[in-house]
Amino acid sequence: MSITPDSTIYWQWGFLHINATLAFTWVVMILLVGGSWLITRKLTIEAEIPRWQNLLEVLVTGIQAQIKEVSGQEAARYLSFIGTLFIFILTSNLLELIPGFVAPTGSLSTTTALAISVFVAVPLFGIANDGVGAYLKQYIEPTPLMLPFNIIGELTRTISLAIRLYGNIMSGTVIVGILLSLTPFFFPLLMQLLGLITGTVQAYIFAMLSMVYIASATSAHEQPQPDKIPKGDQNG
Amino acid sequence: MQIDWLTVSAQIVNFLLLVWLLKHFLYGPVIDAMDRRQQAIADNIADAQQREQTAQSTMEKYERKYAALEKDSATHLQQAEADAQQQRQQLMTQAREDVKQQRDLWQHGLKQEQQDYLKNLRKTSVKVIQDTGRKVLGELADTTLEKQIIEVFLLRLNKLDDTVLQTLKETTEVMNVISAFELDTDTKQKIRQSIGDVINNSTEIEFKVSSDLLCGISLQTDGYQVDWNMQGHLQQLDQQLLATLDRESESNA
Repeated sequence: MSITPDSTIYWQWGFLHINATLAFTWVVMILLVGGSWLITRKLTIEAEIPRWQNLLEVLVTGIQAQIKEVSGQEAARYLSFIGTLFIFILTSNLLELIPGFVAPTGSLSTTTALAISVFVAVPLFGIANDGVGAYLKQYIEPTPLMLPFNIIGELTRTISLAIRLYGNIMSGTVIVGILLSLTPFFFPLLMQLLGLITGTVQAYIFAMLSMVYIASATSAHEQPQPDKIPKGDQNG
Repeated sequence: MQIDWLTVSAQIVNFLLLVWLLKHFLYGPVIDAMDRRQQAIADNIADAQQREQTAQSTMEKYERKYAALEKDSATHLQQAEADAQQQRQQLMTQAREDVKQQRDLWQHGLKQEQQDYLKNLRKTSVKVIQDTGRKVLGELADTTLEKQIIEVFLLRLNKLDDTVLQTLKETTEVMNVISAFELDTDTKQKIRQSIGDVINNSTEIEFKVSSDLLCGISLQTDGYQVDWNMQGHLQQLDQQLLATLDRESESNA
């Protein structure tokens, strides 16, 4: 049993190779983009809308509402980034139920890539929102003595984000594998059902934590939201 | 637990590509559609509000018109009632006058008819009485009605009271003997002689025939008159007949 889909190599040329992670990521991408294109090419603005359009609208408005609730800011700016994080992780996790499908999120490389994306996106959104000076000033607050700790905080939360998602998805797969060898019929089914919930929750947590990080970088001049965004590590 | 940095790089690219693709194919179109629908709904609501306002104002306008019309109609109704009342009064007055005229006309006609009837009756009565008297006298006394009338007339002439007799004696006016029938010469002579005997006057005597007298004979001079005729009896008959007719008409009415 392989712990990570990275080790399943389909094609190799020199140091370049295509492993299961990349292949199934493309599958998910094709599904998402193709499905979106199929549905959105005939959108209607009538009062009566097709059910697929309704699904997409519910999804988009739901993500918007969550972003707005967590960040306290207009959702439009963050929708693409946070929404794609959520939809990609959710789809990957749910498709894992299909026999033969390997979730790309079960690879530490994928979760690391997503975490790095968030890690880069946080200062970018912060700078775009407040300017370079105001953003960098956050690192020396409340005193310049806190600079190393702030930097360590930034790094660790990115790592925790990556490992949390990887651990959850990979562990689910591993547990199913182990249980399958012990009790072949009943428990794996329960674990698969549990995996549905876990996958959805993980997608939500990853997306929302990313939003919280970005919001904490951009909300320097915004109203603080102490009730909704507890400071420090938000471990799921 | 291993990290394949090549895969990580590829996944970052994949993720950023997916962000771009989904922005292009998912979020953009969906949000655009929702915005357009929201705008359409807002437009519809604004349009509906506009229509509602228009409808409201139109309704208020028509309500005002209706109230004014109701008020007008009440006034017109009152006016019409007053006019109708006046018209009714006029028509009633007119009808009463018409009825009165008709009644007067009818009463006049009735009176005329009565009079005509009486006139005819009188003529018929006289004729019947004359015929009857003539027949009775002829059968019982072997004499004529005229002769008997003249006898009675002469008898009355002889029984004149002194005042009248004296006046007649002293008059110088022409004495007119008027009879309803033609007198023969003997009778005229007899009358002339009787007058001469009674009055003893040399005044002239003229004989005339008049149908006004009905049936009788009369001596007229200087405002005095000695006669016998059926006028008095007929008047009595008239009065009795009139009374009977009046009673009949009252009981019919």
